[in-house]
Amino acid sequence: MLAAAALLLAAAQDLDWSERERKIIDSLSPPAAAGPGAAPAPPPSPTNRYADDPAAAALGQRLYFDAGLSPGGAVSCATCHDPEQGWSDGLPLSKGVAETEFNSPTVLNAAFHRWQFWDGRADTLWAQALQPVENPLEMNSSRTFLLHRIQESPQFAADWAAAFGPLPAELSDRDRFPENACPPPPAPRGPFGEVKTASDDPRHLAWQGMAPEDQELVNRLYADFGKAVAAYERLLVSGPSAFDRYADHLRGQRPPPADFGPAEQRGLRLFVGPASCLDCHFGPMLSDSEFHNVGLADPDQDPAPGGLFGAALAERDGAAPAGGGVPREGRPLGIRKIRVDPFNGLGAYSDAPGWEHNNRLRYLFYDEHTIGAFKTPSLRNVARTAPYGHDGRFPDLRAVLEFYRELPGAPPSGHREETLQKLELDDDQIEDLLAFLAALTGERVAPELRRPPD
Amino acid sequence: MPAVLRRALLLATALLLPLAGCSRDPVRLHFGPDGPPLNAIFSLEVEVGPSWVEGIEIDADMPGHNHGMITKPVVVPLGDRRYRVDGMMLHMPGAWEIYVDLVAGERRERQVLPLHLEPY
Repeated sequence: MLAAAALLLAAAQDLDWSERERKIIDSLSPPAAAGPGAAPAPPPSPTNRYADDPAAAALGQRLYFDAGLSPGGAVSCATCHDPEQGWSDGLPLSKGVAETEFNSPTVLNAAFHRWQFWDGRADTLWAQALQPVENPLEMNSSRTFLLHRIQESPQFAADWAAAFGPLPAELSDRDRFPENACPPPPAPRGPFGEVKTASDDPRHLAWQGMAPEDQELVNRLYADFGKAVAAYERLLVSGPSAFDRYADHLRGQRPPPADFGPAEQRGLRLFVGPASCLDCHFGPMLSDSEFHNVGLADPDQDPAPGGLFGAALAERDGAAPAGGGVPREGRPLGIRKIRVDPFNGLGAYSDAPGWEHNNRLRYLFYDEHTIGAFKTPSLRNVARTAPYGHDGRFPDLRAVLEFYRELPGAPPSGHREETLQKLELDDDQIEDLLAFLAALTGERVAPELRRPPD
Repeated sequence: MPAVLRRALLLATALLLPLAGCSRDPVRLHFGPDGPPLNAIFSLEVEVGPSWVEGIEIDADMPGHNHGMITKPVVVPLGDRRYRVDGMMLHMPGAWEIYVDLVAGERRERQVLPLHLEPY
């Protein structure tokens, strides 16, 4: 009786949610298949046959934290995706062996995204895991360097054998498999059909000296490396947040959570209504996993000359547009890269290369509206991943909301999503929206997944 | 006009659109039982009324956003004035317009079918 009275009292404290608002809240926090309070499971990953293999995940976890896979011994996946920094790194621009050109996206819940990277240049989690290894600004390593380190380590070799079978003994033949070799990144055609010239990177020259069948063997093993890391990353799912508990409460599944009070509710009402956040931040990840140009102007840069393709022209010609550096092209470059990536879902290393599992690659195209567009970040755990924006320009969430309140400047390339209107919220409403965003912070990943395995 | 009535009118228009200048022949869009999904690739069937039509082209746009779809659909003729369209994706909630271009030689007539997608 007392419990029922408490529930009634608590219900009286709820805002009077309309039917439409309740439907939207349900879509942002659907009932967990495993019951209230359970974390959701990532969608299937048919291109990775090891996606849900515990042995592959254990190997992937060990690989994720090992800086010895980079030649300088200083950079691992965890360097830029640190579990203690919201699985990001807290820096405006992430830093591997050198500063990169992007803010580090969190890997928490990354398995729910259909595209990876800010420009979506990878279509699977396992293909994503491969690119930082050989990026000269990130790990500056190579697929043969990585495989040699795995083969030389008894622990790694044992974990690898448990997941995939023993590494081939011939891999230790340095004449056939150089210490540090990888192909140049696949050269996407530019927006005008041009192809980049060859590289003189010693890693690339060493690769060119390898027999095709040895290259093929290395590529296959390298793909397995990515699949192991992805199997681990699929376990990195945030637990329920105060908002999820409130959604369960609205469904009558639990008492109201004490940490979702009036301010959070008012913020939620703004979020699902007048603040128009739902244009891009919808669904359980509070992201459409697609790409938008919100018009982040470069403070030191005038809009690119040459119209919508000015930035792309400048990039092609290696020239800086007036006023500053070359703006990032965003999604169009990501699409061109994904089309030539041998590790995409349609490629020879995919475990499900058919169209039925890769439909999203089939109908891809880009136009002037996607220039300067970057992926919508998930808002789950967003309070833990400052700074914000693809270039980390916003130090905190308040700065993000102030940007949407003012919409200053113009983007250096492309054009701003035209539905964006200045956020007409007063200071109290900004506080409410911030309270709601903070209430999207979920329970942390289990401690045994936040460090290298024992 | 109340929003509910306006939405119902838009939906009715979308489901059965009289063709301008072509008597009362309709273009009919046949979605799945749940209608067009939000932010997911889907197929639909297009049924064309006028006998002069030799083929169709299809696109969709969000007039309020000044952009359209992020996929390029493919039209597969099924015969008997029916077409299957694969690769449609309406990636944002809000007001969309589906454009069906009826084509025969140099002749081209565009039909505009409004559609509203909720964010759930």
